[in-house]
This record gives sequence, C-alpha cells and structure tokens, in this order.
Amino acid sequence: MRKSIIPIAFLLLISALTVCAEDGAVMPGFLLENMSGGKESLNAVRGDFTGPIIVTFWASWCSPCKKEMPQLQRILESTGSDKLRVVAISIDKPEKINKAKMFVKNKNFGFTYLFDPNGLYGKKKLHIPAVPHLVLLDGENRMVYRHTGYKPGDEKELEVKIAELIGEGVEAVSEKPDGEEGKEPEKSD
Amino acid sequence: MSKLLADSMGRISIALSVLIMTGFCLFATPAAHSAEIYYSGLNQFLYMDGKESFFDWGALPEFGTADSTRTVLENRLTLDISIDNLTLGGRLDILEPGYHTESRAYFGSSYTQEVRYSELRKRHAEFSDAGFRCRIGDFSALFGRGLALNLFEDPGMQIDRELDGTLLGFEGEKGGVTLFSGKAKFHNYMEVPFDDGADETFTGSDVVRGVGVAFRPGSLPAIGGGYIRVDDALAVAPGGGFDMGKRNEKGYVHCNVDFGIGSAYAEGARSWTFGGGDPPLEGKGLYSGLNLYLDEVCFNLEYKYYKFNETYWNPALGETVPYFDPPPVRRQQDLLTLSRHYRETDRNDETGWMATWSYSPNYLSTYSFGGGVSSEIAPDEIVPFRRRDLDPETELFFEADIELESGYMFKIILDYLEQLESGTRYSYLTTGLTAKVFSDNGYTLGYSVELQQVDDERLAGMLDDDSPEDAHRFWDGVLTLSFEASPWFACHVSAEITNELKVRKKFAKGIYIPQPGEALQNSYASAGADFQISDRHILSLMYGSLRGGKLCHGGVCREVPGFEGFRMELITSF
Repeated sequence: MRKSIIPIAFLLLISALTVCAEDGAVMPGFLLENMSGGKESLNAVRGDFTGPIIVTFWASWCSPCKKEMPQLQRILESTGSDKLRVVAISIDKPEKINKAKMFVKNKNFGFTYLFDPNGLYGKKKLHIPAVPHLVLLDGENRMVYRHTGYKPGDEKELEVKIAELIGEGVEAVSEKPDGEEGKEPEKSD
Repeated sequence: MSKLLADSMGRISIALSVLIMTGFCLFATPAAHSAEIYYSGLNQFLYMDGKESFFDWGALPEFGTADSTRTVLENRLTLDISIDNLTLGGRLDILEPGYHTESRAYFGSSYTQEVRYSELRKRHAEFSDAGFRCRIGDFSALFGRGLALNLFEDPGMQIDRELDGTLLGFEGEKGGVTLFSGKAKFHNYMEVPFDDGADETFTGSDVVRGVGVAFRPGSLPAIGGGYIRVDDALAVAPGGGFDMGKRNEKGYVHCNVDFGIGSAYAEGARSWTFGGGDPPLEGKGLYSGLNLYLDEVCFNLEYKYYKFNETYWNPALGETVPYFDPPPVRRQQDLLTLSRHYRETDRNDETGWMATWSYSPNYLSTYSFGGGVSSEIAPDEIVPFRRRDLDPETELFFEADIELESGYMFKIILDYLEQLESGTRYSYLTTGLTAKVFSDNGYTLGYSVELQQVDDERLAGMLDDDSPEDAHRFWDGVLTLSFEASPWFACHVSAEITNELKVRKKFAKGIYIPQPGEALQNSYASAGADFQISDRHILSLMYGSLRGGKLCHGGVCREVPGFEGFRMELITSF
C-alpha cells in the first residue's frame, strides 16, 4: 500500500507543477538560423511588436505539421499580421535544412522561418516531446498555451486563446463559413 | 521492480520538492533584484509488457527481439534562475529503474551495459551582457550547420553530446566569436573491461577545445571559421588502455551568400588524426548547396565530398576499421514514407551531387523531382565495413503529395538507382492514399493505405542458389483506420503485411548484414489510443505488434520502437 502511494504522490507533484506552469513562464531566448542564413533571436523576432506570437516546431517529414500550417496561415490572415505573428521553427537535421527551406518557400506562408537543426533549443531547452508542437506567446513572451500534435479542429482552442490575448471577441477571430471545418485556405501569391 | 520504482519515486519526489521550494522561496522573498525563474520538463512514464525489438551495432550488427516487461520513468526537469545578468540553472535527468542492454562481445569479453541514471546531469552558471557571454558548466557549440564538421550533432534526445567546461563568447549584429574548452558531457566509452592493470570501470570522455569566428557584414557574404582539437579519452585511460591514436584536430570554414532569389551555403573542414600512425591521417570534407526560389518553383543543388579517412586498429576484430568518432556515422532515411528501408550511407567517405526541383500549386500539394550521382570513396581497408558497393550510382526520384480534394491526399514516391559500372538497379516505389472525413464538431474519420515495393538487384548475389529469380523483390503494405475527436482523443487500428522476411530468409547465411527497422515478422497488427488529457498531458495506449519506425498517429509524429505486447505511456511536458 505504502509503495503505491509514492508513485501517486509523485504524479500529484508533477500535476501541481504543471498547474503552476499554466501561468506561463517567459520563453527562453534563442539564436537560430533564418532563411537567409543569418542568425535571429527571440528579441529580434519580437522587435517592437506587442501582440501574440505563435511559435510552432515542425519537420519536413511530419505530415500533421504540414496540415497544421495552412490553418495557422488562415488564423494569421483572419487576425491580421498587425495583431499576430507566426514563427515556424524547423527541427530538421542539418542536411535537411535545404529541403525544409524549399518547402516553406513553395508554400509562401506569411511566417517567420527559423531552423533549429540539432534540437539544441526545442528539444533540450523546451523539452518538446514530439512535433508539431505549438507555443503561444503573449506580448511579454510568456508561454500562455502549448499544444502537441495536430488534429483537424485543434486550431479552435488556439483561436480562443489568441482572441483572449488580443482582447477581441472569439467570434471575430474564429468565424468561418459553414462547412469549412478541416478545409485549408487557398494559397496566396 | 516495485521496490526500485518506489525508491526512485521517493528520490524524484524529494529532488523535485527541493527545486519547487527553491522556486517558491525566491518568489516569496522580497529582493532588490528581480529574479526570473524558467522551468520546463518532460516526464515519460512507460509501462510495457511484451517483446521489444533491439538492434545491436556490434562488430557484426544483428537484431532481434527480447522479452521486456518493465516500468520506466524518464524525466528531464530544467530549472533556470536569472537575476539580472546572471543565470544559474541545471537539469535533473532520471531514468528509473535502469535496464540492461543485450549481452555483447567487446574487446574479447562479454558484457552488458546498464543504462540508468538519477542525477543532476547538467548545471551551469552564465553571465551575459550586451552580447558578451561567459558560461561555466554544460554548454553546446555548433559551428556552421555541422555538415562537414559534425562534432556536436545531437541525433536525438537519447544521445547527448554536450560539453562540460567553460565557454566565452560574443555575439553582435555583424558577427561573433566563441572560445571553449570542455569534456564531452556524457561518456563516449561504455564500461570496457581493460587488459592488465587497467581500471575496469573506466568510462572516459573526450576533451574538446575550440575557437570559432563568424562575420555577418550584411550585404556581403557571411563567413566563418575556426579550429577544434579533440583529445580522445582512451589515449589517457588509466593503465594506458588501448592506444587508438587519439588526438584529432580540425580546421573549418563556412560561408553563406543571400542574393534575394536564393542563397548559397558552403562548409569545409580539414582534419588530422595524430597517434594512429606516422604521418598523421589527413581527411577533408566539403558540403555546398545552392537554393533558388523562382515563384512557385524552387531549385536546390547540393555537392558533397567527404573523405575523412579515419581508421583505427580494432584488437577485437584484428582489423583496421573506420573511426566513427568523430565524425559519427549518419544514417539517411528519407524519401520513404514507410521509413523502413534505410539507404544508409556512411558519409565520412562519399562524394556526389544531387539536384532537386520542387513545385507547390497549393498549401497541401507538393511535387518534387530530381537526381544525382554519388560514389563511395572509402580507403580499401574500410570497404568491408561499408554497406554500399564502391560502384558509383546514379539516382532519379519523384515525390508528390497531391490533394485530390478536401480531405483526400495521394502520395507517391519513386526512387530509382542504378550502379554505373555493373548496371545493377534497385528501386523503391511507395504509394499512399489518405482519406479523411471531417465534421463540424471536430470529429475526423479516416483511413490510409500505404504500399511499398522494393526491387533490389544488388541482393541477387546474396541469395541461396535455389531461390527464385525474382526473390530480390519484396513489398510492404500498411492499412490504418483512425478516428479523431479534437482535441482530446484519437484512436487507430493498423495492420501491416510484408513478404520481406521470407526474402531475407533466403539470404546465404553470414553474407547479409541486417539493417535497423527490418521486418521480423510477416504481419503486424495493432490498436492504439491517445488521450490529450490536457495541454501538458498525453496518455498513449497500444496493444498488438508494431514494426516500429517514424510513425504519425493521432496528429503526433514520433520515432516508435518495434514492439509486441501492451504499452502505456504518459507524457507530461511543461
């Protein structure tokens, strides 16, 4: 009996810790390669922008990641790039960076692209368990929402969180024509 | 087992409590300086009851299954406390209870390695101000992309190549400089029973020192370079150990040019290994790539020339074998949806080029095709350890993800290779169809079918004489039915059938070297469910047999080990 209490106590402890984390720790800084081969930091991405930022970790071999991206683009378009920014961080291996760059260039999303080829940031610092892994930052870089995986419909919760952050009604952000669930937006040129 | 679990849980609870209390104390105490606390963690609680696939990279690689009923708790908890410009932090790593690897022969003795830890494996203190950075403790260093100079690549969460020592650096808008000295964070040599007089429990770590400089002048090409020296742990092992010749020095340069419609990147390294002979072994590596972005079409051209020539005398085998560390072997496992057939290349000694065009008409559809030539350029003494022929080969591939209509995706990957001198051909053809039906309430019903056919004429010479002529052709099929209820639930049923094992059994004994991920059975069937309990908790259940590989279920992609039985995994990340 005593033995079984200890694991339960441990799980409760972990749960308590995760509840504490709900308030949102400040995202640790990074310095990652960008599309042009230079380095970009979290501070540089933030600049003087005070709105929420979606940071999504993805890989070129991850099919749910590729399905999530059009939804993020739709949210970005409906919210407006003056109110929301999206940063996509690839965890592809160094020899796959070119493949990842070609993929995102082809798609022409309105995201900022960064590359974390050795997982020094995503895997080691943030402990992301799998991809896609999404982090929503508030205006002070606090991680107010994290989500692993993508299933059609998962974006609804994200939209609610974004709406809360930008102080608008949920409907304004998540409004979508009937029957459009799961559909991806048209690619823009 | 329960005692171990209970003990470990107790220790974990105490350690976590100390960390949490430290955090609360810091929060609660009024301070003249503001303190920020960052903590994140990954907890994996795994229970398995069944058989587990393993692959042993021993002198003669082999794979198989082993009975495995165990409960594993793996934790990574990072805590950083920052006060103004000073940060103190650490990472608690726990793997309890440990497990023993399969017994294997090493240096003439049989031994098993115990993988188990429960300690603060990382700790650091860092001062940073206006781009300047001084860090003592654990750190990682990456120069360029690590393509030609691959010292610090981290191939996965399980293998950590970080260093423990001192790092000084400055990073500004126009460039930066880094100096460091440290030991490889974790032992690169397992417990090896040394010969006379040596410490039998010696577990050594390489000592690494380096300096790197980078200039990013903006409109001009960004360039960088540096020097790294690695003193091998075994060269200074107690009692002498085996003299594996161990001092490696490398110089490297990298360059990046961004010209609006594209970019070019190159990285080169020269290496010298001292102590393995006179004169020192010399090696060199060059990677270069060109990307062009032309509206909806992208073009990429890559050229590589890796010839590091690093070998050592292996007393266990009585032969000269490739020296993999550094740089380590890399496995290439792309192009294939099923990701089972590794086209493994030891990139230490290889040259070749590859061109790729890619076109994307919409967000979900992508077409890529390309080709190239590659050849092995290993020294003669290394050739027996390569899994490729020396015959140069040409490759053509076509890959497409096509959105047929909303919810319906079709995938095709064709990879065709021909050896230029012998004319031997081999090809991989993979097709896949995924169909999903969505509802307004976030429910998704889907199925996917994937078929892969492999025709590998290279295997013909390895088959028994009585094998049919087409025995080098084999196929693999996977059918998956899935149901998803966003965001909290997903389940699937999956079946896989292959004739690969039948083909493998026809190989003449001892000739064929197996590869990780190969089929151990003719058929597999499994059912699984994933519960997203909260943003931070995922519970995964699986029952049945699974071949393993890079799999995506319930919207999550992970590397899954081969397994047969019942698995339950609770992942908490925060």
